[in-house]
Amino acid sequence: MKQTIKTAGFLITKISRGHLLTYFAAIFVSVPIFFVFRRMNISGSEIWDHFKTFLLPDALKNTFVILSLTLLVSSVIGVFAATAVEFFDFPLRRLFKWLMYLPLIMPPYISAYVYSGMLGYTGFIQKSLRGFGINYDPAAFDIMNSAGAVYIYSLAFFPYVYATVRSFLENHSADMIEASRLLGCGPFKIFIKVILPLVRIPLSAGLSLVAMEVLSEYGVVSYFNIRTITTSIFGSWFGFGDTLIAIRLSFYVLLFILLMQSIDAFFRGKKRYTLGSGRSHPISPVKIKRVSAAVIFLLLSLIFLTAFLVILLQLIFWSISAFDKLDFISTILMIRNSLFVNLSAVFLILLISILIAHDQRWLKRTGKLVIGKLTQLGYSIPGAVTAIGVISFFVFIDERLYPFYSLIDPDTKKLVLSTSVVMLIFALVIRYLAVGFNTVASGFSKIGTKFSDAAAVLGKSKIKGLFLVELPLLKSTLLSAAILSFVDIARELPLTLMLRPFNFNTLASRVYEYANDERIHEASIPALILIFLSLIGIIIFSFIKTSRRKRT
Amino acid sequence: MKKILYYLPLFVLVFLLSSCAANGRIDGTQNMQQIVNIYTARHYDTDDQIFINFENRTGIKVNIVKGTSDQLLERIRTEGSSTEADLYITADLAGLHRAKASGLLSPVASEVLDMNVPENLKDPDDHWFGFTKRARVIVHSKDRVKPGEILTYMDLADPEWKGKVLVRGSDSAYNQTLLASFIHLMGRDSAKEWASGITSNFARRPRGGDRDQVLAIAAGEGDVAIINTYYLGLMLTSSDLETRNAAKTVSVVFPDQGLSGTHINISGVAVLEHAKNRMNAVKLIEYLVSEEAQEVLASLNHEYPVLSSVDVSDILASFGPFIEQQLELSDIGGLTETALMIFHEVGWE
Repeated sequence: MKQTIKTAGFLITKISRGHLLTYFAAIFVSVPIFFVFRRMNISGSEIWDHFKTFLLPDALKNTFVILSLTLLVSSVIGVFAATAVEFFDFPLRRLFKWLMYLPLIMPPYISAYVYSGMLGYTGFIQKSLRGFGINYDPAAFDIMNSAGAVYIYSLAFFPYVYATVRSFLENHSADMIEASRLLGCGPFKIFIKVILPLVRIPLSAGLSLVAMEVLSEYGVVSYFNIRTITTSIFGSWFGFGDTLIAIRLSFYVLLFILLMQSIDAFFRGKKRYTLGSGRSHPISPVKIKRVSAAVIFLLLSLIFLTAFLVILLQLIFWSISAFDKLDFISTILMIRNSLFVNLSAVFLILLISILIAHDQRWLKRTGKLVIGKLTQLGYSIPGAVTAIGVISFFVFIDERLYPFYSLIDPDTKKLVLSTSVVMLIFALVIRYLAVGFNTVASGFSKIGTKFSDAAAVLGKSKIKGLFLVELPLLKSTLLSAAILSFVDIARELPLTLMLRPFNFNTLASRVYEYANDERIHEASIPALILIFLSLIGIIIFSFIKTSRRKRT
Repeated sequence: MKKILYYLPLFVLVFLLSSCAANGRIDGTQNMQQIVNIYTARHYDTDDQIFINFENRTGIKVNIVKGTSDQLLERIRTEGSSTEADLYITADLAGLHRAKASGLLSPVASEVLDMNVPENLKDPDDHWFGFTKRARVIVHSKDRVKPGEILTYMDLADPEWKGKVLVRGSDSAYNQTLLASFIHLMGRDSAKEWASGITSNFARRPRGGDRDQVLAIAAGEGDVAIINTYYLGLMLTSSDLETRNAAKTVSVVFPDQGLSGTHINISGVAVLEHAKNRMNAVKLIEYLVSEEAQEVLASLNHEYPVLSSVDVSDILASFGPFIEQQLELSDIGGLTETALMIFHEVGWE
């Protein structure tokens, strides 16, 4: 008995040494998701039966087709681009290294509108064909179908694969590649025998992000009118006024994602792919034949053109014709609002990521797993469904806090937090925490616990070790996490639409309002500003990465 | 420098709290100023203009959250009795009907509203009021279809038009209310027959918005389309020459003249049950149907005014006068869900 109490006491003090805060943070950010799923009701209903009979088969089929093809195409593009810029020497290699990140800042719904505008009847392609008097079948330019959705998604999301695979190759593969070269392997053999098995790990991490993006994306499939699980979630919500089916479907999507990740983890088993020497050195790219260099150059240019430049140019062209309708003051306000919510959310994401990632190094495997999944919940279900949970959560808090509000101001309204921008920022944090957290966590796990241990030996606290040694070491990791979250949040729409306070417009919400009204020309100006803000972020990101490399 | 890092989280917390307090006006200044808070699913520049005019005229500050109708409804529902919203505005009937059915609205007794809003465009219990109309019409190619060749919605389901009909998807609220009006007029079975007939006449899989259907006619992918007059108005006044030219290749037919009339859908407004600024909310609704506001809506937004004394815009006038469906919209509001089920059953994507 005494022994048990002693053990229990020991356990509590052990947890309270810091893990308590970590668990609290992880649970806190996932509470809204539990608020949503608490409302789930899996008993049958007339609408659910109808849904199962008429919509579910198509929704599953289309989702499966679009998801698997997108994963396939974006792996091919991503792995090709990453391998090309890391291993081969061709003109403008360094430039392409960061150009391949740019498609990430192009919101897929904007690409969808631009492409269908460009390829459509009034677009410049058909216009020129008519101008030359050439007969053509307009259906040949149709992009508004499943294949078109795969095209838009692959070009929008392949940078996730590219980024994870490239940074892995950069840090981990030089020794093996050089060994293979010494043993006389040709580039093709190296690719098949060494690179492909190696990139399996970063590839599955990248694809996991792609899958979550595709499964929660609504704008493209809704405009193309394709029945998928996501359009069904919203179709049943808006068409039948039934949020229960929407919540239930999101839950199944979440289960599906967790299942896929478990299968992936199972096959990977307990193998650990860390390399013997902690020190990594960059690979020296090989000189290749002129023809091969030209082919690589052309392919990468094609990717960059179709995934980014063409869309950008079309938007610029459209914005010129809509420029005279621009309201400068409200545009500046929108930029301010967008930056404010975005940067606040990014800051909080970093803060929470550091808190959890710093501490979870001392957790057991299960603990790490639980924390990892909790922080990822918000990213795994559609934003608008997350929004339902966030509102319920904040109204719940406001009602509890009302007595305190009344102490400060007897005439106060009841909903203080939930009519403020705090609710929106919090929602963005829980939706995009996974993006920042994964980067920060991998940074912390790379440096291990040696600095904290050293700090302990020297009689300093972990916190001091964190601030004085670890954070400065991780500066560039933190920056990557910040920029990635920033870019993702800039594209975000459903949360902003549903959770914003009164009179609060952002660039993304403005784009939506015009695009939803089928006024793509007017939508192009806020869309361009949005893209340029992210572009600045990416430029800072790459600038710091290269300057760091020069120093070392 | 390092010291600052320690305090950074604190700064942020203070910053967030202060911004929240500024937004929430915890100090009570809001009581000084008269306000009205709106959740609206309409996001047009004209509406912003009208709200500014209202502010100037009455001194009542208008606060706006824009969103989609069902998401806003979910927000109102969750906020419950604490909600700050006074008015709910949507561009579709189903939202108004659901809000009323969920007990989220409260009736308004107003002579102005009784006088200015036609009986069939408002809720019989005065829970919501229509303030603009759009007609859902047929457009056809000027070259390939002769005037008079197509006159009714039923014609579209005729096998004669096989492979020629263009229309957007069934998730569109406009299609749902259109079919709901047929369910009300001719019963579920006949309405389903019509939907099924149209579906087998599709020129292509439904996709895109109303504008895309007009473009498809211009491109020759189909000959006839169902669209809202509003979007054709937008196209005819577009800043893009090609779009204007494409819009000129079609002519408008107001269907079912001499029968039950052309289908119209409304934008509507309602006062919420838990409105904190009820008086101001009623004032704003009355302003929305006043001559001044109706003129702005009619002239700048290609919508038909509900106030009969106000003239329609030149573009709409060029489509000609027409006879509307004289249905009680409140009867249709509850049928959109049945309509959607029919669409699914007949395979209208």
